Amino acid sequence: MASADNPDRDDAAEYALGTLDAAERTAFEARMAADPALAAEAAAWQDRLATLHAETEPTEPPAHLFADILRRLDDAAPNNVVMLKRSADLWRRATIAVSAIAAALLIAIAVRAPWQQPEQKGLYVAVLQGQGTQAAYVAAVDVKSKMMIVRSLGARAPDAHSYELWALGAGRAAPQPLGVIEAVARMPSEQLGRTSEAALSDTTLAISLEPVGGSPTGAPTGPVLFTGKLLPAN
Amino acid sequence: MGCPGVRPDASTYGEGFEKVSKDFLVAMDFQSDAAVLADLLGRTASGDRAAFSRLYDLTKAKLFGVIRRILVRADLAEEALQESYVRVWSNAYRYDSSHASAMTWMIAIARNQAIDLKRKANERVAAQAVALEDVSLPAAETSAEDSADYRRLRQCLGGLAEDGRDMVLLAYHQGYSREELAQRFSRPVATVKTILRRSLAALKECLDGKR
Repeated sequence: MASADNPDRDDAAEYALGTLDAAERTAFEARMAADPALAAEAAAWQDRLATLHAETEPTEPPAHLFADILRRLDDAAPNNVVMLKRSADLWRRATIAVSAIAAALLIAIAVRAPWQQPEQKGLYVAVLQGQGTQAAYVAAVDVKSKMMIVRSLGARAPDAHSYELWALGAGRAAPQPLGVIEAVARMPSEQLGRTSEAALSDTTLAISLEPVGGSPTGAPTGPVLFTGKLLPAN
Repeated sequence: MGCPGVRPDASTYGEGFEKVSKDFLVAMDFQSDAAVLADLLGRTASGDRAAFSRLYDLTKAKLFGVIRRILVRADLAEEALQESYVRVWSNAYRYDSSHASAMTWMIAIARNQAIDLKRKANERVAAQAVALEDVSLPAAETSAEDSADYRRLRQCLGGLAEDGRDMVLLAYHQGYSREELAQRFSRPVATVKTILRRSLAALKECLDGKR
């Protein structure tokens, strides 16, 4: 029939309808995760079919359920790194140009989500931006887990170039190389060398444009495109 | 620009205007609902429990209605509702308003949970007869409150072959699997699959053609 030559499309329709069996569904979800067009196709089907629920009678659930749900949220509470990823995903999608300060505030708010303990010490965040106001990367250092994560908000190095991350300030005599980064970089925070609270608060992260594989000299050779200062998130 | 809250009535503008005005207001209400839900979902994504709580209040009855059609057993339906909202909470950051409305997105989550639980329960009590609710075809009469989308969908469903339409509706509303449909319609599973796919393709063609 109309779509017999496109099994993916048929799968998207049946996925939304709910008639794929468990194995087919798992396989389809895996394909969908790697294929935004397929995900959009499935969403379009969900949208078409959801219209049917105009005729579904609303039914009040028992009142006690919400308390149970709230209790379960505590177990589902994401950690800071996941949280940062979420914020990054949201921003990337929103593609809203935000100033560094506004963005930093957003992160600070996001990571201080209400489910977390009031004592949320040892988290530092930075929004790296260039000349414009568009945030290009976000970075977070979690002292407790000793991890640093740097995530692109859509920026990527042009062909035949790499982006390299550097740490500056906090008494460093020269920019300290932290390696080439792509969409996401995770590294032990020890790589920063200086990880006291005072040092972190005085550290600026920068990204320079380098030949593929990074600077051959150990110092930035290309223009510094994005910079951002680490700020305590609390 | 007039007094807020005062809507022109038919006696002032005639029946034609009343009709247009009503459609417009229905559309506006729908729009604002959708925007409110999308906003609450966005705030839920950043961990705002108050927003999540409000989202729950606004959507629980609809989602529970959706789930109850699939899961007749109350305990399973409640479990599915809980699981759905936990997923809404932890997946809210994935919601993309350019793909679907917040309600559509949440309904999809609720249906997946309900269907999962239904299939698991069916495995547990393999031979238990499934309560066969009558196929609920959308009522033939349209009312002014119906959205244009709903009217169009109903029209297109009406154009499908009867078996296909009933299968699609049973699968969608009651979470029937291909096997359950095969049993109910006394057809081989492979035939059910073919009929489903053919019906969905025809439905899409009809819906897209009338846009």
